[in-house]
Amino acid sequence: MRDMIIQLITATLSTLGFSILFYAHPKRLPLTTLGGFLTSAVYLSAGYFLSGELIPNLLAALVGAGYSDVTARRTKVPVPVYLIPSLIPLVPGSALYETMTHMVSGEYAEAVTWGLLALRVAIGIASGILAASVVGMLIRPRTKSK
Amino acid sequence: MKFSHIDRALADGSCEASVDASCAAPPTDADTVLGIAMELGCEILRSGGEIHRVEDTITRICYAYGALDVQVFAITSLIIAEARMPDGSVSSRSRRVWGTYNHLARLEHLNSLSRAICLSPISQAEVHRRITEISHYRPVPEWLCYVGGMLATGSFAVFFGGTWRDGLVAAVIGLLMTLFLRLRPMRINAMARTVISSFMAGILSVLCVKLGLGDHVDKIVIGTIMLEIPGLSFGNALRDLFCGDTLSGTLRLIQALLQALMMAFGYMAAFGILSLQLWGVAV
Repeated sequence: MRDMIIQLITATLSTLGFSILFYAHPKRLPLTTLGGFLTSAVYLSAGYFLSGELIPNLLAALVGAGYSDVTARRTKVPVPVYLIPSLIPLVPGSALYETMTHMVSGEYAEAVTWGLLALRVAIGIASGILAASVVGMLIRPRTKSK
Repeated sequence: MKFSHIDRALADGSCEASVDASCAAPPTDADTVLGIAMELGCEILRSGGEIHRVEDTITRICYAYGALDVQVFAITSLIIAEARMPDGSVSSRSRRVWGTYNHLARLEHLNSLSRAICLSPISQAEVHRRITEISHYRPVPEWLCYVGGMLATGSFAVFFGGTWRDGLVAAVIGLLMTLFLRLRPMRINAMARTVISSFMAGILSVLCVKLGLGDHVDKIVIGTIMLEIPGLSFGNALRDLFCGDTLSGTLRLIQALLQALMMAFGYMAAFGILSLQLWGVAV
Protein backbone atom coordinates (compact mmCIF):
# COMPACT_ATOMS: atom_id res chain seq x y z
CA MET A 1 0.00 0.00 0.00
CA ARG A 2 2.81 2.37 0.94
CA ASP A 3 4.58 1.45 -2.29
CA MET A 4 1.47 2.29 -4.27
CA ILE A 5 1.19 5.72 -2.67
CA ILE A 6 4.85 6.43 -3.41
CA GLN A 7 4.29 5.29 -7.01
CA LEU A 8 1.23 7.49 -7.32
CA ILE A 9 3.14 10.55 -6.08
CA THR A 10 6.19 9.94 -8.25
CA ALA A 11 4.09 9.25 -11.35
CA THR A 12 2.27 12.54 -10.80
CA LEU A 13 5.54 14.41 -10.33
CA SER A 14 7.02 12.90 -13.49
CA THR A 15 3.92 13.93 -15.43
CA LEU A 16 4.54 17.48 -14.23
CA GLY A 17 8.19 17.19 -15.30
CA PHE A 18 7.28 15.95 -18.76
CA SER A 19 4.60 18.60 -19.21
CA ILE A 20 7.32 21.21 -18.70
CA LEU A 21 9.68 19.36 -21.05
CA PHE A 22 6.96 19.25 -23.73
CA TYR A 23 6.53 23.03 -23.33
CA ALA A 24 2.97 22.96 -22.05
CA HIS A 25 1.62 26.40 -21.31
CA PRO A 26 2.08 27.20 -17.56
CA LYS A 27 -1.69 27.74 -17.34
CA ARG A 28 -2.26 24.09 -18.35
CA LEU A 29 0.17 22.52 -15.89
CA PRO A 30 -2.36 21.83 -13.09
CA LEU A 31 -4.73 20.05 -15.47
CA THR A 32 -2.03 17.99 -17.25
CA THR A 33 -0.67 16.92 -13.87
CA LEU A 34 -4.16 15.95 -12.74
CA GLY A 35 -4.42 13.83 -15.90
CA GLY A 36 -1.22 11.98 -15.00
CA PHE A 37 -2.51 11.47 -11.48
CA LEU A 38 -5.80 10.00 -12.71
CA THR A 39 -4.11 7.72 -15.24
CA SER A 40 -1.62 6.36 -12.74
CA ALA A 41 -4.30 5.97 -10.07
CA VAL A 42 -6.41 3.85 -12.43
CA TYR A 43 -3.36 1.91 -13.59
CA LEU A 44 -2.18 1.12 -10.06
CA SER A 45 -5.58 0.17 -8.68
CA ALA A 46 -6.42 -1.95 -11.74
CA GLY A 47 -3.02 -3.63 -11.42
CA TYR A 48 -3.83 -4.38 -7.78
CA PHE A 49 -7.05 -6.21 -8.59
CA LEU A 50 -6.32 -7.65 -12.03
CA SER A 51 -3.41 -9.69 -13.29
CA GLY A 52 -1.58 -9.07 -16.55
CA GLU A 53 -0.47 -5.84 -18.17
CA LEU A 54 -2.91 -5.40 -21.02
CA ILE A 55 -6.14 -4.64 -19.16
CA PRO A 56 -4.75 -2.20 -16.53
CA ASN A 57 -3.01 -0.24 -19.29
CA LEU A 58 -6.11 -0.29 -21.44
CA LEU A 59 -8.30 0.98 -18.61
CA ALA A 60 -5.80 3.65 -17.59
CA ALA A 61 -5.38 4.86 -21.18
CA LEU A 62 -9.16 4.87 -21.56
CA VAL A 63 -9.59 7.06 -18.51
CA GLY A 64 -6.64 9.30 -19.46
CA ALA A 65 -7.89 9.77 -23.01
CA GLY A 66 -11.45 10.39 -21.84
CA TYR A 67 -10.23 12.94 -19.33
CA SER A 68 -8.10 14.68 -21.98
CA ASP A 69 -10.97 14.77 -24.41
CA VAL A 70 -13.39 16.33 -21.93
CA THR A 71 -10.86 18.81 -20.55
CA ALA A 72 -9.66 19.80 -24.01
CA ARG A 73 -13.23 20.49 -25.06
CA ARG A 74 -13.90 22.55 -21.94
CA THR A 75 -10.74 24.65 -22.22
CA LYS A 76 -10.82 24.79 -26.05
CA VAL A 77 -7.32 23.49 -26.74
CA PRO A 78 -6.24 20.55 -28.91
CA VAL A 79 -6.47 17.13 -27.25
CA PRO A 80 -2.71 16.26 -27.39
CA VAL A 81 -2.00 19.10 -24.92
CA TYR A 82 -3.56 16.92 -22.21
CA LEU A 83 -3.29 13.48 -23.78
CA ILE A 84 0.49 13.33 -24.22
CA PRO A 85 1.40 14.22 -20.59
CA SER A 86 -1.47 12.14 -19.16
CA LEU A 87 -0.20 8.93 -20.71
CA ILE A 88 3.42 9.40 -19.59
CA PRO A 89 3.05 7.20 -16.46
CA LEU A 90 2.08 4.23 -18.67
CA VAL A 91 5.26 4.21 -20.76
CA PRO A 92 6.81 0.76 -20.24
CA GLY A 93 10.29 1.84 -19.15
CA SER A 94 11.29 -1.22 -17.17
CA ALA A 95 10.06 -3.66 -19.82
CA LEU A 96 12.18 -1.92 -22.44
CA TYR A 97 15.16 -1.90 -20.12
CA GLU A 98 14.86 -5.63 -19.46
CA THR A 99 14.47 -6.33 -23.19
CA MET A 100 17.61 -4.33 -23.83
CA THR A 101 19.80 -5.99 -21.21
CA HIS A 102 18.67 -9.53 -22.03
CA MET A 103 19.15 -8.92 -25.72
CA VAL A 104 22.72 -7.81 -25.22
CA SER A 105 23.63 -10.60 -22.83
CA GLY A 106 22.36 -13.10 -25.39
CA GLU A 107 19.32 -14.39 -23.51
CA TYR A 108 17.03 -14.12 -26.48
CA ALA A 109 14.07 -16.03 -25.00
CA GLU A 110 13.94 -13.64 -22.04
CA ALA A 111 14.41 -10.66 -24.32
CA VAL A 112 11.50 -11.74 -26.49
CA THR A 113 9.30 -12.24 -23.42
CA TRP A 114 10.02 -8.73 -22.14
CA GLY A 115 9.75 -7.25 -25.62
CA LEU A 116 6.33 -8.80 -26.08
CA LEU A 117 5.32 -7.41 -22.70
CA ALA A 118 6.31 -3.91 -23.87
CA LEU A 119 4.36 -4.50 -27.08
CA ARG A 120 1.32 -5.60 -25.07
CA VAL A 121 1.52 -2.39 -23.03
CA ALA A 122 1.71 -0.32 -26.23
CA ILE A 123 -1.28 -2.16 -27.71
CA GLY A 124 -3.17 -1.64 -24.45
CA ILE A 125 -2.49 2.11 -24.55
CA ALA A 126 -3.41 2.43 -28.22
CA SER A 127 -6.65 0.49 -27.84
CA GLY A 128 -7.51 2.48 -24.72
CA ILE A 129 -7.22 5.71 -26.68
CA LEU A 130 -9.26 4.22 -29.51
CA ALA A 131 -11.96 3.01 -27.11
CA ALA A 132 -12.14 6.48 -25.57
CA SER A 133 -12.58 8.07 -28.99
CA VAL A 134 -15.34 5.61 -29.87
CA VAL A 135 -17.12 6.31 -26.57
CA GLY A 136 -16.69 10.03 -27.22
CA MET A 137 -18.25 9.68 -30.65
CA LEU A 138 -21.23 7.84 -29.18
CA ILE A 139 -21.76 10.37 -26.39
CA ARG A 140 -21.04 13.61 -28.26
CA PRO A 141 -24.38 14.15 -30.07
CA ARG A 142 -26.19 13.94 -26.74
CA THR A 143 -23.93 16.45 -24.99
CA LYS A 144 -24.26 18.80 -27.94
CA SER A 145 -28.05 18.88 -27.80
CA LYS A 146 -27.97 19.45 -24.05
CA MET B 1 10.52 36.29 -53.24
CA LYS B 2 9.68 39.83 -52.24
CA PHE B 3 8.43 40.52 -55.71
CA SER B 4 5.95 37.66 -55.61
CA HIS B 5 4.74 38.93 -52.27
CA ILE B 6 3.99 42.34 -53.73
CA ASP B 7 2.39 40.60 -56.68
CA ARG B 8 0.02 38.79 -54.42
CA ALA B 9 -0.83 41.95 -52.52
CA LEU B 10 -1.71 43.54 -55.85
CA ALA B 11 -3.79 40.55 -56.79
CA ASP B 12 -5.62 40.90 -53.49
CA GLY B 13 -6.28 44.55 -54.27
CA SER B 14 -7.69 43.79 -57.68
CA CYS B 15 -9.94 41.16 -56.20
CA GLU B 16 -11.40 43.65 -53.77
CA ALA B 17 -13.24 45.48 -56.49
CA SER B 18 -14.89 42.41 -57.95
CA VAL B 19 -15.81 40.56 -54.75
CA ASP B 20 -18.54 41.83 -52.44
CA ALA B 21 -17.58 43.89 -49.40
CA SER B 22 -18.06 41.18 -46.75
CA CYS B 23 -14.92 39.26 -47.78
CA ALA B 24 -12.95 42.19 -49.19
CA ALA B 25 -9.70 41.86 -47.22
CA PRO B 26 -8.95 38.12 -47.36
CA PRO B 27 -7.33 36.75 -50.51
CA THR B 28 -9.36 34.71 -52.95
CA ASP B 29 -6.82 33.29 -55.39
CA ALA B 30 -6.01 29.62 -54.97
CA ASP B 31 -2.27 30.15 -54.64
CA THR B 32 -2.44 32.55 -51.69
CA VAL B 33 -5.18 30.67 -49.88
CA LEU B 34 -3.36 27.38 -50.16
CA GLY B 35 -0.14 29.10 -49.11
CA ILE B 36 -1.76 30.29 -45.88
CA ALA B 37 -3.28 26.90 -45.16
CA MET B 38 -0.03 25.07 -45.86
CA GLU B 39 2.03 27.35 -43.65
CA LEU B 40 -0.29 26.78 -40.73
CA GLY B 41 -0.56 23.04 -41.38
CA CYS B 42 3.20 22.69 -41.60
CA GLU B 43 3.70 24.46 -38.26
CA ILE B 44 1.06 22.27 -36.61
CA LEU B 45 2.78 19.13 -37.88
CA ARG B 46 6.16 20.40 -36.64
CA SER B 47 4.78 21.14 -33.16
CA GLY B 48 3.57 17.58 -32.73
CA GLY B 49 0.01 17.74 -34.07
CA GLU B 50 -1.62 14.56 -35.35
CA ILE B 51 -1.85 13.84 -39.08
CA HIS B 52 -5.62 14.06 -38.78
CA ARG B 53 -5.40 17.55 -37.31
CA VAL B 54 -3.05 18.78 -40.05
CA GLU B 55 -5.25 17.52 -42.87
CA ASP B 56 -8.36 18.82 -41.15
CA THR B 57 -6.87 22.28 -40.53
CA ILE B 58 -5.75 22.74 -44.13
CA THR B 59 -9.13 21.65 -45.46
CA ARG B 60 -11.09 23.87 -43.11
CA ILE B 61 -8.98 26.95 -43.78
CA CYS B 62 -9.26 26.57 -47.55
CA TYR B 63 -13.03 26.20 -47.25
CA ALA B 64 -13.15 29.23 -44.95
CA TYR B 65 -11.53 31.30 -47.71
CA GLY B 66 -14.17 30.04 -50.11
CA ALA B 67 -12.49 27.10 -51.84
CA LEU B 68 -14.81 24.75 -53.72
CA ASP B 69 -12.70 21.64 -53.49
CA VAL B 70 -9.72 20.77 -51.30
CA GLN B 71 -7.57 17.64 -51.38
CA VAL B 72 -4.91 17.11 -48.71
CA PHE B 73 -2.53 14.29 -48.03
CA ALA B 74 -0.05 14.41 -45.19
CA ILE B 75 2.50 12.05 -43.73
CA THR B 76 4.99 12.78 -40.96
CA SER B 77 7.47 14.49 -43.28
CA LEU B 78 5.43 15.78 -46.21
CA ILE B 79 2.22 17.64 -46.95
CA ILE B 80 0.63 17.72 -50.39
CA ALA B 81 -2.49 19.76 -51.03
CA GLU B 82 -4.59 21.06 -53.89
CA ALA B 83 -7.34 23.67 -53.79
CA ARG B 84 -9.84 24.90 -56.39
CA MET B 85 -11.44 28.31 -56.02
CA PRO B 86 -14.80 29.58 -57.38
CA ASP B 87 -13.00 31.70 -60.02
CA GLY B 88 -11.62 28.50 -61.52
CA SER B 89 -8.02 28.94 -60.36
CA VAL B 90 -6.39 25.74 -59.14
CA SER B 91 -3.25 25.52 -57.06
CA SER B 92 -1.33 22.57 -55.75
CA ARG B 93 1.58 22.67 -53.38
CA SER B 94 3.77 20.31 -51.47
CA ARG B 95 5.94 20.95 -48.48
CA ARG B 96 8.69 18.93 -46.85
CA VAL B 97 8.53 19.04 -43.07
CA TRP B 98 11.76 18.69 -41.14
CA GLY B 99 11.92 17.42 -37.61
CA THR B 100 8.83 17.18 -35.46
CA TYR B 101 8.86 17.56 -31.71
CA ASN B 102 6.34 18.07 -28.93
CA HIS B 103 5.64 21.73 -28.28
CA LEU B 104 2.23 21.77 -26.66
CA ALA B 105 1.91 25.53 -26.05
CA ARG B 106 2.74 26.27 -29.70
CA LEU B 107 0.24 23.66 -30.83
CA GLU B 108 -2.39 25.27 -28.64
CA HIS B 109 -1.77 28.75 -30.09
CA LEU B 110 -1.68 27.49 -33.68
CA ASN B 111 -4.97 25.73 -33.11
CA SER B 112 -6.65 28.86 -31.79
CA LEU B 113 -5.21 30.84 -34.72
CA SER B 114 -6.76 28.34 -37.12
CA ARG B 115 -10.09 28.63 -35.30
CA ALA B 116 -9.90 32.42 -35.58
CA ILE B 117 -9.16 32.22 -39.31
CA CYS B 118 -12.08 29.87 -39.88
CA LEU B 119 -14.40 32.34 -38.15
CA SER B 120 -13.18 35.39 -40.04
CA PRO B 121 -10.55 35.00 -42.81
CA ILE B 122 -7.65 37.48 -42.66
CA SER B 123 -4.90 38.54 -45.08
CA GLN B 124 -1.80 36.47 -45.75
CA ALA B 125 0.58 39.05 -44.27
CA GLU B 126 -1.39 39.02 -41.04
CA VAL B 127 -1.38 35.21 -40.87
CA HIS B 128 2.33 35.14 -41.55
CA ARG B 129 2.98 37.72 -38.84
CA ARG B 130 1.00 35.73 -36.27
CA ILE B 131 2.67 32.44 -37.15
CA THR B 132 6.12 34.01 -36.78
CA GLU B 133 5.02 35.40 -33.43
CA ILE B 134 3.88 31.95 -32.31
CA SER B 135 7.06 30.23 -33.49
CA HIS B 136 9.17 32.59 -31.39
CA TYR B 137 6.94 32.03 -28.40
CA ARG B 138 8.54 30.59 -25.24
CA PRO B 139 6.01 29.56 -22.61
CA VAL B 140 8.43 28.91 -19.76
CA PRO B 141 11.83 30.29 -18.80
CA GLU B 142 14.86 28.22 -19.82
CA TRP B 143 15.83 27.04 -16.34
CA LEU B 144 12.40 25.53 -15.74
CA CYS B 145 13.00 23.00 -18.53
CA TYR B 146 15.97 21.62 -16.63
CA VAL B 147 13.86 21.36 -13.49
CA GLY B 148 11.33 19.49 -15.62
CA GLY B 149 14.00 17.06 -16.83
CA MET B 150 15.21 16.44 -13.29
CA LEU B 151 11.67 15.90 -12.02
CA ALA B 152 10.86 13.49 -14.85
CA THR B 153 13.92 11.23 -14.49
CA GLY B 154 14.20 11.39 -10.70
CA SER B 155 10.61 10.47 -9.99
CA PHE B 156 10.58 7.69 -12.57
CA ALA B 157 13.61 6.09 -10.92
CA VAL B 158 11.66 6.02 -7.65
CA PHE B 159 8.46 4.95 -9.45
CA PHE B 160 10.11 1.78 -10.74
CA GLY B 161 11.29 0.84 -7.27
CA GLY B 162 14.50 2.78 -6.67
CA THR B 163 15.46 4.37 -3.37
CA TRP B 164 15.44 8.13 -2.85
CA ARG B 165 19.19 8.18 -3.46
CA ASP B 166 18.61 6.52 -6.84
CA GLY B 167 16.06 9.24 -7.51
CA LEU B 168 18.55 11.99 -6.72
CA VAL B 169 21.28 10.47 -8.90
CA ALA B 170 18.81 9.98 -11.75
CA ALA B 171 17.67 13.59 -11.38
CA VAL B 172 21.24 14.89 -11.70
CA ILE B 173 21.89 12.68 -14.73
CA GLY B 174 18.57 13.81 -16.14
CA LEU B 175 19.71 17.41 -15.76
CA LEU B 176 22.88 16.70 -17.74
CA MET B 177 20.93 14.83 -20.43
CA THR B 178 18.43 17.65 -20.80
CA LEU B 179 21.34 20.06 -21.11
CA PHE B 180 22.89 17.90 -23.82
CA LEU B 181 19.67 17.26 -25.72
CA ARG B 182 18.71 20.94 -25.69
CA LEU B 183 22.08 22.35 -26.69
CA ARG B 184 22.05 20.30 -29.90
CA PRO B 185 25.83 20.38 -30.23
CA MET B 186 27.17 20.61 -33.77
CA ARG B 187 23.72 19.90 -35.21
CA ILE B 188 24.45 16.18 -35.18
CA ASN B 189 21.69 13.95 -36.38
CA ALA B 190 18.97 12.88 -33.99
CA MET B 191 19.89 9.19 -33.92
CA ALA B 192 23.53 9.95 -33.10
CA ARG B 193 22.38 12.32 -30.39
CA THR B 194 20.31 9.54 -28.85
CA VAL B 195 23.30 7.19 -28.87
CA ILE B 196 25.63 9.76 -27.30
CA SER B 197 23.28 10.86 -24.58
CA SER B 198 22.33 7.29 -23.63
CA PHE B 199 26.01 6.38 -23.60
CA MET B 200 26.79 9.25 -21.22
CA ALA B 201 23.81 8.38 -19.04
CA GLY B 202 24.88 4.73 -18.88
CA ILE B 203 28.46 5.59 -17.88
CA LEU B 204 27.31 8.10 -15.28
CA SER B 205 24.76 5.75 -13.69
CA VAL B 206 27.29 2.94 -13.31
CA LEU B 207 29.96 5.30 -11.95
CA CYS B 208 27.56 6.85 -9.47
CA VAL B 209 26.63 3.45 -8.10
CA LYS B 210 30.29 2.41 -7.93
CA LEU B 211 31.08 5.56 -5.97
CA GLY B 212 28.27 4.70 -3.60
CA LEU B 213 26.02 7.60 -4.50
CA GLY B 214 23.18 5.46 -5.81
CA ASP B 215 21.93 1.99 -4.89
CA HIS B 216 20.64 0.30 -8.08
CA VAL B 217 22.07 0.80 -11.55
CA ASP B 218 18.96 -0.61 -13.23
CA LYS B 219 16.54 1.76 -11.49
CA ILE B 220 18.67 4.80 -12.29
CA VAL B 221 18.99 3.71 -15.90
CA ILE B 222 15.24 3.13 -16.21
CA GLY B 223 14.65 6.63 -14.85
CA THR B 224 17.02 8.24 -17.34
CA ILE B 225 15.71 6.07 -20.21
CA MET B 226 12.38 7.84 -19.91
CA LEU B 227 13.84 11.01 -21.41
CA GLU B 228 14.64 9.26 -24.68
CA ILE B 229 12.16 6.46 -24.73
CA PRO B 230 10.02 6.46 -27.84
CA GLY B 231 7.21 4.86 -25.82
CA LEU B 232 4.77 7.60 -26.56
CA SER B 233 5.60 7.80 -30.24
CA PHE B 234 5.16 4.03 -30.29
CA GLY B 235 1.65 4.45 -28.90
CA ASN B 236 0.96 7.25 -31.38
CA ALA B 237 2.20 5.05 -34.21
CA LEU B 238 -0.14 2.23 -33.22
CA ARG B 239 -3.02 4.68 -32.94
CA ASP B 240 -2.31 6.06 -36.41
CA LEU B 241 -2.22 2.51 -37.75
CA PHE B 242 -5.52 1.61 -36.09
CA CYS B 243 -7.18 4.84 -37.20
CA GLY B 244 -6.42 4.24 -40.87
CA ASP B 245 -3.37 6.46 -41.40
CA THR B 246 -1.41 3.35 -42.31
CA LEU B 247 1.49 5.10 -43.96
CA SER B 248 2.17 7.60 -41.16
CA GLY B 249 1.70 4.84 -38.60
CA THR B 250 4.30 2.67 -40.30
CA LEU B 251 6.75 5.56 -40.59
CA ARG B 252 6.37 6.44 -36.93
CA LEU B 253 6.64 2.81 -35.88
CA ILE B 254 9.93 2.37 -37.71
CA GLN B 255 11.21 5.67 -36.32
CA ALA B 256 10.30 4.60 -32.77
CA LEU B 257 11.91 1.17 -33.19
CA LEU B 258 15.09 2.70 -34.59
CA GLN B 259 15.29 5.14 -31.72
CA ALA B 260 14.79 2.37 -29.17
CA LEU B 261 17.56 0.42 -30.88
CA MET B 262 19.93 3.40 -30.83
CA MET B 263 19.13 4.01 -27.18
CA ALA B 264 19.82 0.39 -26.31
CA PHE B 265 23.06 0.59 -28.28
CA GLY B 266 24.20 3.63 -26.31
CA TYR B 267 23.48 2.11 -22.90
CA MET B 268 24.94 -1.25 -23.82
CA ALA B 269 28.12 0.33 -25.13
CA ALA B 270 28.48 2.10 -21.79
CA PHE B 271 27.91 -1.09 -19.80
CA GLY B 272 30.23 -3.01 -22.06
CA ILE B 273 33.04 -0.53 -21.63
CA LEU B 274 32.72 -0.64 -17.88
CA SER B 275 32.57 -4.46 -18.29
CA LEU B 276 29.93 -5.11 -15.73
CA GLN B 277 27.58 -7.96 -15.40
CA LEU B 278 24.52 -6.84 -17.24
CA TRP B 279 21.90 -7.87 -14.75
CA GLY B 280 21.64 -7.45 -10.99
CA VAL B 281 24.43 -4.89 -10.87
CA ALA B 282 23.89 -3.89 -7.25
CA VAL B 283 27.42 -2.96 -6.21
